[in-house]
Amino acid sequence: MTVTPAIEIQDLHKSFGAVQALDGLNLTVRPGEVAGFLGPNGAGKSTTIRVLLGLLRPDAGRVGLLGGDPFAQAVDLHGRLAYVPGDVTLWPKLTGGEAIDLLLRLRGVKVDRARKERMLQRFELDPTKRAGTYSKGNRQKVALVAALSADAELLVLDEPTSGLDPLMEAVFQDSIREATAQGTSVLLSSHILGEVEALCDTVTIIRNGKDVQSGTLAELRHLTRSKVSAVVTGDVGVLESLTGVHDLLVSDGGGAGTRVAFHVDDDALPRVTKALAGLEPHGLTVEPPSLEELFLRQYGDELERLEEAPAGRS
Amino acid sequence: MTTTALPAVPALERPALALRGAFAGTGDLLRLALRRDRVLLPVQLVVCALLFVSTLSSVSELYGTQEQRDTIQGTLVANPAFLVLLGPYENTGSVASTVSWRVGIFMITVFGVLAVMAVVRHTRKEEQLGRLELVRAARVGSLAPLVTGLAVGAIFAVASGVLTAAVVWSQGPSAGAVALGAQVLGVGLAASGIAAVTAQVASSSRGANSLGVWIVIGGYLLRGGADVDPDALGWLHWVTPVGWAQQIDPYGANDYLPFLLCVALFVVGGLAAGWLTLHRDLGAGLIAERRGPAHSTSLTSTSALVARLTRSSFVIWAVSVGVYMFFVGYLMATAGTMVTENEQFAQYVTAMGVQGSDIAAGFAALIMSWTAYAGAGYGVTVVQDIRTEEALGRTEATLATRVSRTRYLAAWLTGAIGGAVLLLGLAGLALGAGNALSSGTSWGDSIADGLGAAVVHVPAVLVVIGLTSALFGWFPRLVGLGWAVIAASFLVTLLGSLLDLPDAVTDLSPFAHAPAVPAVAWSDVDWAPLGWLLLIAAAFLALALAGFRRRDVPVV
Repeated sequence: MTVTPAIEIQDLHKSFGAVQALDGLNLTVRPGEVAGFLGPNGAGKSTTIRVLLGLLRPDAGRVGLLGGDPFAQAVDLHGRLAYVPGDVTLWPKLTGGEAIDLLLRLRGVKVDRARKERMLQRFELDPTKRAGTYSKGNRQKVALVAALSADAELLVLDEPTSGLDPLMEAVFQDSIREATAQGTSVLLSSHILGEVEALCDTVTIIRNGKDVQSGTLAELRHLTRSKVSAVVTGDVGVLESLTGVHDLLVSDGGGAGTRVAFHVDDDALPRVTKALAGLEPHGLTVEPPSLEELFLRQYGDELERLEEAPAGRS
Repeated sequence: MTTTALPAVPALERPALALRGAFAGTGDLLRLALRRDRVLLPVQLVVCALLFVSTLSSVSELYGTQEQRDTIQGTLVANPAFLVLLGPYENTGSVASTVSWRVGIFMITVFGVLAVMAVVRHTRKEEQLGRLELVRAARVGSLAPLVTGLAVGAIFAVASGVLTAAVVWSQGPSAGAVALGAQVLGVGLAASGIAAVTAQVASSSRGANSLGVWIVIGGYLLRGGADVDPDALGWLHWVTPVGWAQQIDPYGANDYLPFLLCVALFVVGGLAAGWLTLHRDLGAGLIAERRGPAHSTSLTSTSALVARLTRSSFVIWAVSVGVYMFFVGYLMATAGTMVTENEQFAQYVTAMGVQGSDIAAGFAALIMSWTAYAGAGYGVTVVQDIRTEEALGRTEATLATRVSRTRYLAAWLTGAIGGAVLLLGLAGLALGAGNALSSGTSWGDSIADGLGAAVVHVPAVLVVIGLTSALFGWFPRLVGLGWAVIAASFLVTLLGSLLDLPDAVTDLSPFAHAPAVPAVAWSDVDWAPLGWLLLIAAAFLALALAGFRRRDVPVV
């Protein structure tokens, strides 16, 4: 059985004049899935989302949104999704409550007062203030409340929690889980790796307009090394000789034996645990790589370049 | 608790408002302000100076001799309408003094309004947009932005005063030219002082602007009352800067005492604004933002949103145009009688561009042709609003809903066109109503004439709005050129007769093709040019939709 993906992008290209914003991007979000979309500023996340919303025309590539063409069928498709931009600007003279009602009606949705009220309370937003007087976080809340006050098949969220405090971040995560429990698919572009780790089923990392890594978090973790540490007795030389063991550190275990710490390739883990078993390990920990490590691995060279750059005049 | 190590802070006393350092950074801010205004201010000055130049040329043609001037003065001396609009014509000694009467009070009001806007632009607007927060976080004193705003206002006032005096001085050196410059300078300074205070009082730049502008324009209206009935209302000359400036009386008394009052208001306004700045929080005003409704039942579509967003500015345009045209209508009959009694005035009216034998009707047609620029200007501001919506990301948010691009743009263009047409209609109604009141013509005929005079300008207005929309559809960064089209059309018309430009040039202006209804009978109207204009407008609008449907949003 083939299920139509909520989002399917193949080999997407888009340039603005001389700037190549997207350069062969692939991205798939299956129905009911929460897909994380990671990349630093300028990697092409917002451009991708604008193409998905039919606001930008792709130069080349295939883009499917809820089984339709995002540009030609924009209006019908938009009735089935809700969008939260990363930098929300509202009409300064309208109150927050008016803006929410307007955005819902423009989606073709009847405003459910009770549900809106619930969301307003949850996000602690005062809807009677003029949008011009809202802080960045409060403007963000207006867009979130508008998006979450009606059911949608797909939520397109572009850094939706920038400017929110940690309490609101937790509220946001709960609300997204509620939505996915109803079968809503989510595309979540974010910088906050903890948020992605907490919410997402799959992750796509984008760099210079190209997807450089994608899969479930578990799959991605397989692609990189875990961190192992233990206190052992016996000859640690056996670990050194194993292929797949990196950065081995040996230190005094404080009477209990020798402390070892190393990184290990995922496919070498079975061999390494066998070898470790012969060394009578205590206090053994195997840490899978965090999303942050995964992310930094993709951008390691860039980070190095940035750190080496002169820190400015002194 | 271990708070002993911290320096003690006086609990209930505010930190001393030390002025030391309060002005730090003023120089840098002023350079930035002048750089940002390097196009706007010179353009405003040049356009205003050109109005003086063109008035000078028409006045020297018509009132070149003392005899001509005395005749016209005899006709106008007791006419209340002219007293309200232009003030009394007392100094008939020269062409320059006549220019000072003909446009002086009107122009000092315009300069005052521009000064208010300049000051607010560099104070409250910066603060409202949050840029001041960033600036004040640097080594910039609390009073530096205010001083910068006042300095820009003062620089504009000095430049406009000198320029005005220079234009009139070109007719020959005179104390009157200096006094006329002092009028302009004085009102500019006083308006800057007023704006400095309104920028502290209102918490939005729109609020600060309207408050300041209405104080200046209010001065113009109050002194009109004083001129009509000096015995009972003469004191109204002494309550506002425009009234004071009038009392300088260039080419007459040349009295600089009222000028000192203007300077004093600049100083007092600046000091009061400074005190308010030091005693309020950044971002706060004395007039607090009101709360609003938590729900909306009326905002159901893009059209409803457009209506809501354009409502308040439309009301301001409508009231201004309506009041002005009502006045003109009220004047029309007087103008007609004066012409029959006075050949001099007939010549004057003809030279202004009035066509046809029925002078009252010609006068109405001429004034209405100016209103066409207002209609087009309103339309261009609405198209610029669409561009602002796009640049700020609000178009994106709207198009991400079930609103198609065609419907989105159509809703906005309907707002632009509907508003502009409504504005012209109101102008026609007001003109007709004013005329019916003063002349005793039947209301029906009078209003039909007024509406007729207005409606013939609709095609030209549509062409300008269409062209601006097409720019938005294809080259959204260039929508500002809509103003250039209006300004160029205006200048071509203004300078056309002055420089004897060939018809091929003056015909480029879309405004040049409207018949002078009601001076021209409907049966004599040549419909072809109007039809062509409508076709061109329709083509531009279609082009706008076609471009917007296929282009990227947003174009940044």
